[in-house]
Formats: sequence, structure tokens, C-alpha cells
Amino acid sequence: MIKTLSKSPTSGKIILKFFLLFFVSLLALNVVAKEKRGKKGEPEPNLKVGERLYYGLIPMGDEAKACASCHTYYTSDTINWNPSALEMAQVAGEMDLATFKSHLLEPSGAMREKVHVNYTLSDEQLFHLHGYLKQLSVDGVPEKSLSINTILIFLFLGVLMAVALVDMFFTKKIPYRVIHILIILFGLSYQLKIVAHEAMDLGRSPDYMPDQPIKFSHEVHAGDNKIDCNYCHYNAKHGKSAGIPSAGLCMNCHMVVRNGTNSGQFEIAKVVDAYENNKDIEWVRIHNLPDHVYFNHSQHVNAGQLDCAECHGKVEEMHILKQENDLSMGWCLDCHKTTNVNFLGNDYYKVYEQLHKDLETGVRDSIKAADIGANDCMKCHH
Amino acid sequence: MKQYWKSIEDLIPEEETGQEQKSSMVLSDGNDSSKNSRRDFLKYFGFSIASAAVFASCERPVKKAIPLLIQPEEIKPGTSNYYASAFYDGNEMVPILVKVRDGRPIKIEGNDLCELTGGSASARIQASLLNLYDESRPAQPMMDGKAISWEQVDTDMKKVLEEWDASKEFVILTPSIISPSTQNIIGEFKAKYPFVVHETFDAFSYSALREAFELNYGKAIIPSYRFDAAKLVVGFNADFLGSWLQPTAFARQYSKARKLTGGQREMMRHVQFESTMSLTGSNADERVPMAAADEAHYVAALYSAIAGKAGVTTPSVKATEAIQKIADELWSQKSKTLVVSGTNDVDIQSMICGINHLLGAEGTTIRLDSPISLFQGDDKAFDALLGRMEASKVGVAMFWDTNPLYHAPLEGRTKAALDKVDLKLAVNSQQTETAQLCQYSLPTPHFLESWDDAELVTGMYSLTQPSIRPIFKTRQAQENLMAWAGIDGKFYDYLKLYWKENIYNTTLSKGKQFETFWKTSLRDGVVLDENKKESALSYRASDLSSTTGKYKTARSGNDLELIMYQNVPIGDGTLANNPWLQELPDPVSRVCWDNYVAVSPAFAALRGWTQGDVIAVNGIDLPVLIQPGQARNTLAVAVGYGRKNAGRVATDLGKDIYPLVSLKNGHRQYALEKVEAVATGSTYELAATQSHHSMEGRELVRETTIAEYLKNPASGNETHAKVEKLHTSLYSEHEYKGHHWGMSIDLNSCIGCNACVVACSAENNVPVVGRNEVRRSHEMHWIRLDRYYAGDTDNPEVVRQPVMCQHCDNAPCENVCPVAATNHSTEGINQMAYNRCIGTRYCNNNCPYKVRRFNWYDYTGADTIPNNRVDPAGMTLDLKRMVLNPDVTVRAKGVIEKCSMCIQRIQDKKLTAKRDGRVLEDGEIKTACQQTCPAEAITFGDMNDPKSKISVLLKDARQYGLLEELHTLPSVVYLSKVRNKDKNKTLS
Repeated sequence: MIKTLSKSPTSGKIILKFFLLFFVSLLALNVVAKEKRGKKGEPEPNLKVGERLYYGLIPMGDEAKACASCHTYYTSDTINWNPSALEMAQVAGEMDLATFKSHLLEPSGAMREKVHVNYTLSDEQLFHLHGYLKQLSVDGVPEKSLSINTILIFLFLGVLMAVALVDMFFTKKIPYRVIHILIILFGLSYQLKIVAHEAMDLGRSPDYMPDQPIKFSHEVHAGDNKIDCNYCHYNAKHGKSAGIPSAGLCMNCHMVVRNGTNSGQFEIAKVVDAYENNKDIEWVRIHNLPDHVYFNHSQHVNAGQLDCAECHGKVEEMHILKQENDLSMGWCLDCHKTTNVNFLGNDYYKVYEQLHKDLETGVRDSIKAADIGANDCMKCHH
Repeated sequence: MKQYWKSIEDLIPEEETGQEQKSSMVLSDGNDSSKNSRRDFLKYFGFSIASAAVFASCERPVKKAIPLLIQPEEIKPGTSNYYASAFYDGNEMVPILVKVRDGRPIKIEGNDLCELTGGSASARIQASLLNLYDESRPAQPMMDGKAISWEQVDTDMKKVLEEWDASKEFVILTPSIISPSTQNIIGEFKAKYPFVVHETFDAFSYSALREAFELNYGKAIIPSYRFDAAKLVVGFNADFLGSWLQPTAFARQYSKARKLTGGQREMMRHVQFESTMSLTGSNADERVPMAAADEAHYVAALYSAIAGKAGVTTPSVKATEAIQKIADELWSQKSKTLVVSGTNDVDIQSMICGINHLLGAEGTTIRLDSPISLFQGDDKAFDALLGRMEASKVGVAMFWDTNPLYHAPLEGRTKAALDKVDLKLAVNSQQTETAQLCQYSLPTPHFLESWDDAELVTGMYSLTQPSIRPIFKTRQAQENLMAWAGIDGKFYDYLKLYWKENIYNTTLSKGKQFETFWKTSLRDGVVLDENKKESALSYRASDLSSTTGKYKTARSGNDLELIMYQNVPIGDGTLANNPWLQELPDPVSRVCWDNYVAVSPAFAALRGWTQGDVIAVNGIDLPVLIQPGQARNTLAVAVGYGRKNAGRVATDLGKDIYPLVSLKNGHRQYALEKVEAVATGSTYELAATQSHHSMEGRELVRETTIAEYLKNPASGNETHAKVEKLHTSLYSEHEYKGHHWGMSIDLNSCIGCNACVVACSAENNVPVVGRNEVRRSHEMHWIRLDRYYAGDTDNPEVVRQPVMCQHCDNAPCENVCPVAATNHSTEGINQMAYNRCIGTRYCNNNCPYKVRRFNWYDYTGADTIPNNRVDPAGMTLDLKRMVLNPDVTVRAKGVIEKCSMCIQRIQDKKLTAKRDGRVLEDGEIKTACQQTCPAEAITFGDMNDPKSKISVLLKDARQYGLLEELHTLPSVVYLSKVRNKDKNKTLS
């Protein structure tokens, strides 16, 4: 039930621009470069100015886009192949001011040359922007703001019921008590529904699509380039876990492929960096099962001959991977009840003599997974 | 039917024993977690559920998945690999397989390529895994309590070695080194520094045995014993199934020779003369209680009787009737007999040699051409070493996995001697008492983190390979010597080179190159070079007449004597800091977490002692345990307890009895002929599992004698046929379309060694609950070994029965669960869904076998509520939790658990067969208890498969179900016990 507020929809950008122009003068007044000086007399960047520059609240030239319009805070807001704000900050944080300036204003590389045009930034502005990014690389990106709709509805109903109660006994503005009672009944039952749903969903997370440390796109790899799932997740056929490919496996291709169609060099460089410099890549795990559930990929992929998409959805159409199904027990059991077992094609099932007879004599036309005990508790809970 | 009784309290009415059922009286304990009342709970409950649901669900813990950067081909996440290795703790050496999952060892199995142990492992081997994750292991090199680097250690030591005072010795004190390459390193070190002396010190001494062989055969060896080649075994205080020499291998041989399945109609007969009830004695067909002081007399009488028959002149010793009879029996079986003694006394061992020689046991049950390399220690040499230390002739003493201060304090002599050594180095993987005296602590890795090899018998090699990277900053002792002697490289390189130069030959490798041979050897873990054999020694007459003459009369009078023995869980105490071992009940007394003084019922009655009274034995306060079958005037105390510096679990647990061990005639004596024992007036409640789960007055264990069995295989099991006739049921029977799992336990094979209990704990994440919880009957073991006595208290017969969930087809537990958390699977398994369980314990109350366990607390850190936790042994620490099996749920507080027949193993093997598209073979699935069982008492399989082993056993006439008259239709069946005993052969 966690839905994120969409942060920067592209359509909003134009309105934003007009809105910004209006504010510019005000801001400019505010930001009359009051250069703060540090104790040692060195100038300190004004982080506020830096932030405003980053978000384009202070224009940086005609037709020049704000940094944030490409280098967004969060990947999963909309697919954005450019390095994110934090990544920019980390790169910029390591540069001195001169390098930073040349990177920004005299770009090299195809993508940057195309985009980084028409920027007119004073040295002072550059100094503030650089300072802001440096600070960001230290602080990191704040947590995404979460949906408060449900809580608001919950509280609103509470208030509504309280008002109804007060009116029923004291103010008595509404003459018919049945209205109060209806309001309270409705409020209570809706609240109960919210609680029940939230409780059921505890630990479940369909549609979960967190930011990953590398903008790895399944659409590019599995869709456009048609790489078989089992090439990277080769363990799915053999073991419990499908396995996340090691950087070494990525390098099978990326030893050569260093330039992505969407992301340029930046994302692939991260894999190369991890591989060459022994850095772990901390992927965010998307499909999580509780500890008391045993799930084995090879059972389903190898013995059960299921297609990956049956549980994981059309991964080849996902730039950002998301959890397709809720992975609840009901979902598992329902599938077991309807999925046919490859009963004749696998010698293991010879042990089920009676069922084989039933198939031959036509008592049954198929054997479902649940018929041979797939829904026994201890098949998954041991 | 015999009257069986489980403990002395059962036999004597409660008022007489004056013993309250304390365990049921103790209702509150120190860690009372219910600080909030039930009412508070309800108050909070309403609020928290709403708020938790609404607010907490907004936050999702982000889980990271971090793949390896370069994935080795053979390592697959979530899939276990097995690596061959070898267990050696200074006592027993057993080749093992280590199950490694995602980089951490989680289970030890025996290596089935080893012909001695055939894939079995003892309780201690199983449990040694937990010592790897012991947080109290020394973690880094230290000098005088300050952490230093290994480079600093090397610099310091090289300086010491270079500036050596030639009048002094550099002593390396090790347990028996059975590794040929390590021997070689020590040799090289000695060659480089001539003042280095290597001495061997065994934690528990067998030096008299070696000396006796030197006297009688000209060489100080310990031969290979073959119990499986014997038709009659006579033991004198030798607990060869529990602790003597190679208990795992002996247990295998013993049960093999006594099996009656598969058409075998003969079984080995075992007679035991002993002072306290040992595991071995409790398995004997006939057992004679004997004062330890009389052992020499008994053995002399036996020798004299046999010599008489063999026509060898020897002083005649008046033999008791039992000895006379056993001499006749031995003589009639001649070379197919074996007589052993466990006493560290040269006279006794010499006479035993003489007896075996006269019977012609050499070559059949005693293999002199394949002596074992264990227990090379010589107490006389240790005595001499102490002398040199006392004379300040020892400059440096390196205690390499040895702990003489604990194992042989010798009335303070050892401490005084060690104080005179200038520089002492503690080189251990565990904390030791000796290390406290040492300036340097140079920790070694656990054996699962080490490279090593072993040559148990000439030509029989094993390799130890690391299965995890060292957890702490440790270094193998061999590498210390290499660094100080200037030998380059790691010990691994040295080991490999040694193998290339000394062990590898083209015959052994069948013409393969060394690299191939090395990889094959590492994979197999064992290499047998049949061309390397020692020449057989021949008997040379020693002066046994005068020895025999010394013991013409019995020595025991009314004096109270004491024997000190190794019990099955703790042994000599080296691995004591192990929660699994401490929680393991002693197979005889069923007591855990403590040692005690075992007293015979007659003597206790004489002194007015009752169970739990604390008495002072030569000044050491110990609680009394009344032990039926104990020799009348003998007290028995287990060694290995009362550690002063062992780590969190074992320190100050129980009482240390080693201070009473003395050096007599050059050998450590584990018996005292005269002790003082006085009641202190206080009492102590032992944590025993003995009076729990009592199932009285029913034919739980059925037994017969071999003569009866040969006449009628169903003898003793007549009830089974009667019950079978009564099969009717109101319930419809389950239909098993595919598999129907079942288990058979051969009570004739089971020796009660408890290896299965630890194997089960390791496999199934069974919690350790600690002493207080055991006192409250909260122990959690999924499998228990019930022990019943029958007959008189002075010399009862003992039977044992492993009991786990019986997986009834008509399960009483399933019917009463209000939430269907326990129900029947389509394959006949009584399932337990932990997450569905709400903890009513109805199932527990309705189970006639009392095999269900309730999690009264959170013992393993399964939930995050600190108040729920009871953790006496550190099992909730992150390090110890690394031992958990990821395929088995860690149960939280408030749920029932029980044996699942290792469902994870069943599922795993089924899946392998499915993936390969083949039929599942019989015997492919092995439960944890079955796999480790040295006696091969447990058989598991598919009862729907008419050809499976279990189906064959189900047709055996000895087969019956536990409490089958209740019509629970258990899937676990037992085969009745057969005693090799005949009425006219009765010894006592």
C-alpha cells in the first residue's frame, strides 16, 4: 500500500518554469551573494543558492535546463537514464572547482555535448553549486516521502465520527439520529477495513520497485537484447535461489560493451569499477519471502517447467524491476491447484501408481500439483 | 513381563525417598518475563494492532542482496556443498564430511568412504561444529594480555630462539600427533634448533596400555581392535562404546556383530565387569558389578583360569563363579574372543595381553600389524618433563592444544613446575586453564578452519581441509614452527609437498599424476595404501606369573573407593564449552549440565543419602546420583567438568575431579582406593530428563533371549499379533498415493550413544534451553533415548529406546489442534506448521508418546522481543547463530515443535530425483539421526515401496509399534531387543 507521490512529472515542468520566472526576482534579492566567510577567511558556499541552482530556481542561461530535470533525486520516479543527483554529487564532490567547471561548461562525450549547452554560470554560482553537491554527497538523498492518504482517510473518519457523536448528544444540529449512527457505523467499518487490509499486507509488497544502485534495465537486457533469463540467473535451474549474477558474469559482455544505449557510460562504468576494484554491489532485494517459507526455484523452473514470467511478470518490459505478484500463500496455493504436473514426462512420478492408472482409465484427465501434495504444509514450512 | 523402572524414585515410593518432584514445583524462575499482566497485554493489544497496521506498514525493511563479485563455479547460493575433512580432538580421529552452505559449515556427517566408521559420527563429533562458532575462542595473538601482531610474535620468538641458553630446553607439548606432515615439521624444527624437545601429553591417559604391549610384544603400540570379528567380548571397566580408544568405530563393529536382521542368526555375546554403570556395561548381555580395586584380582583369576586350560603354569588365583564360567566360555570360543580393560594399569593390561594371547586373539580380534597412532602419550615421559621443569631446565614451553594444568594438576605439582618455566606459549583454539599461566597466547584456528592430515593406522591416511576462512586472527601451530624455523610458505604448501614426496606413489594413484591424486584425495578425504603395513609383532613371554601372583586375593574391603570416568557427552573436557554437549543427557543417568557422584543404592541406603544430597568427596562437593548397578562401595565421578577457564558455557560448570588423579607407577590413575565422603547437609537439584515422559507398565520395550528368538522369532513380541487382530477404526484410513514414509528402529542395535540427539539438534535448529529449563522439563530435543532398568537395583538389566514423533496415521494430536497447525501430509508425515501454531498445547497433552516440545521462551533469537528470551549458552549471538540450518525455520516463543522426519532432507532428495527425471532410490533419503548412527539402528524409507528396506523390516517378526494397542498406527516401528544370554549361562 505504499504509493509514492510522483515527484517530478514531466508535464509539470513547463508550468513550473513560468512559476519560477515570477519568483526569480524575489529570490535574486534574497540571494544577493552574501558571501559567508569561514573562520579562516575562506569563502564558504551558500548551500541554499547551490540547491536553487540545482533545481533551476535560479536560471543558468537561456534554454538551459535545470540540473534536476535530468539528474533526478530518485530513479523510480520516472525512468531516467541520467546519473542521479546523488551520483552527480559523488562525482562532483571528488573534483576541484576547475575540473567541475570544465565538466559542466565544456562537456566532452556525445551525450553531454548535446545536453550541456547554453549554460551561463558565474564562477560564484559554480562555487555554490559545487558546494551544494559536495554536501549532498555527504548527506545523501533523503528518504522518499510516503503516501499519507490512508492515514488521512483514517483520521478524517475518526474526526467525522467524533463530530457525529458530539452532535448526537450535545449540539443536536441534525435532527435524525439515524444519520449519526450511519456515519459512525460507516466510519468504523471503513476504518476496520483499512486496518484489516494493512494488516494483511504487512510484509507483502506487490508493485515494489525500489531504486537500485545501478540502473540495470531488464527491458534492455531481456527484452531488447533477448538474453535468456537463465544466462544470468543460471542457478534458478539448479538451486533454491535464482541467484543474482556476479559482477564477473556481467563482465562477460561488458568487457566489450561499455556504452549503453540509454545510460551512456555512467552506469556500466559502475559494474566495471566494482569488478576491477573489488567493490560489492549492494542490490536491493525485491522478492522477499518470510523466513518461515521455503521456496525453491529449481522445483518450479526445472521440475515444474514453469516460465519465469508466470511469477515475475513481463520482466522484459520492465526498465525498473518491480514485484509483479503479492507472493502470498493464497497465490501459491491457487497456482498449485490449477497447474498440471508433467506426470508422464518425468520418471520420478512413477511412484504414483494409482494416479497413473486413473490417467489411463480416464478417471482423471490431468494431475495437478496439489493432487500430489504440493499444498501440504511442510512442503514449504519446514 | 518384567517390571521396568526408569529411575530409583520409581521403584521406591515417593515418601521413602523424601524427594519432592522438584521439577514440577518450581514454577517461577529468575528470568520471569511476564512483567506485564494479561490485562495490560489486552490493553496494549487493541491499540498496537491498529497503530502497527497503519503506521508500521509504511516502513519496509530494505533487504540487500549482495552477490559475489566472481562466483566460483561450484558455489551456488542456497545449495550446500560437502567437503571431506577429518575430526581429531586429541582422542578419536574420524573422517568426516562438512556440509557448507553459503560459506559457513552447518553440519558434520561421517565420511562413508571410511571403512572403520562407515559414515557415522559420535555425539561429540557432531557437536564439535558448534565449537567453531564459539565466541569465547581466543581471537588474536596476545602478549601479557595485550594484543600484538603475528609479525611481532615472529620477531619476538626468533629473538628468543637465536639468543638461546644452551643449557635449557624448548619444549613443545602436544597431544598425540597423528599427522605425518606435522611430525615432519616438528622434526625440521628440532633439526634447526637442537634444544627443542617434543613431548606428547594426552588429556586422558592410556599409557599403561602401550607399556603393556611393550612388555608383552616388544613395542609400545596400541593395536587395532576388531569387535566385529569377535563372538564373545569381555570388558573390564572398558567403556569402548562410549569413550575407550575409538568409540565410534567400535560401536560400528559391535552392532554389526550383534545384528539379527538380514537372516543373521548368530550374535556376538558381551559380558562386562565394571564398577559403575557405563554405556558399554548397560548394553552388555550380562554385567557383573565389580569394585575397581578388585579388577586386577578378577583379571588375574581369569588369566589363571585360561592359563590352566592352556597348560601354562601360573599361580592359581581363586576365581569367582562368574570368572570361572566366563573362562570356560572364552576357552570354547578361543580366537573369536576379545578381552579388554580400560584401566590405566600395566599389570592389568599385561594380564589382558596374556589372556588374549592364550586365546589366540592376535590376528582375528587384535590386529598387531595395524597399530593405531592415537594416544602416544607416555606418563613417565611427562613425569620426567615435570622434573626438568622443576629443575628450571625448561626455557620455553609451548602448549599446543594441551592443557596439563587442567588434565593433570597432580596435587599442584604441575602448577609449580609450570611456574618455573621462563616463557610459556599457549597455542590453542579453545580457552584453557594452562593458557592463563602463559605469557603468549597464539591462537590456532578450529579444525574446520585448518589444513591437516592424519595417519590413523599405517597406510590409512585422511586429510583435513578448511571449510571456512578463519573467523578470528588465528594461525595454525604448524605455521608458527615454519615461521620460526624459516620454512617459507603456508602449511598448505608444506602439506601438499609432503604428500607429493612421501605418500604419493603411482600404485596408489593408479598411474595418475600427483595433482590428480591430490584432488582425488581431497575429495575423498581418505586414502588407503594397502602396501604399507607394519610387520605383525609376536608375543614374547613376560613374567606374568609374578604379576598374577600379586593379585591372589580380592583387595576391596569396606573402604569407599572412587573412580573417575569420561562420560559420553563431555569426555575428557576438551570440548566442554559446547552448549549442545552440555545439554546432552548422559546416556545412563539422563543428567545434563552437571557432573555428580554416582552412588550404589545399597551404599546410599547405608549412609542415608538420597538423590540430590550434596556430599564432599575428599573435599569436593558433589550432588549424589543413585546409580543402580554400581559396585557397592564405589563412587564414580565424571571428569571433564569444573573448568576454570573454558569460556562462557563450561567455566565453573560442575566440579573438577582431575585434582584427585594421581601419578602412580608412572601412570595416571583414574581410581582412588580410599576416599572420604561425608554429607554436607545441603542439596542440589540435578537437571535430569529421567523422570519425565514416564510410560510405565506397558510393553514399550520388548525383549527376548537369543535361544527363545531362534525358536520363535516373535518371542517377546507376542502382543503385536494380538493387537494386529484388533484393527478397526471409526476414522477412514489415509490414502497414500505416492510415498508413505516410515522408520524402523532396531532396539537390538541401538547402543544409546546419543549421537542421533546432537545430529538432530544440528540439523533441525533444536534450541538449547539450559540447566534451569531442563529442571522444569522444558528440554527441547526432538529425539530422546528413554532408558529403563529391569530387575534388582544392585545389578539391573538396562534397555533403551529412542523415541521421536511416531508420525501416527491415527494421530491423537491432529484431532485436537484448534487451528489445524498440525495435520497429516499426503506422504504420511505428521506435519507441524509453526507459523500457524497458537500454542494451546492441546496436541502436547494428547500425544501418548510425549514427543512434542513447546517453546516456553525464545531460545535462539527467533523473535525480536528481548523479554521473551532465555539464552543460557549464547545461542542467540550472531556468531553462534551461524550454525543454524537455513532450510529449517527457527521457532519463536509459544509454538510447538517436534520431529519432522527431516522433511527438508526428504524434499531435497525428492527434488533431485525430479530434476534428474528418475525414480527416487530406496536409501537415498537419510534422516539426520539415521545418517550419524554408528550402530545403524535406524532405517528410513518408503513403506509403499515393497522392495524398500523398511518394507522388509516391517515384515520382521520382531517388529512392533510403540503403544500400538492405542491404535495410533505409528509410522515408526521398533524391532524388539534380543539378549545373548541363556539361563544356564547366567553369571551372577
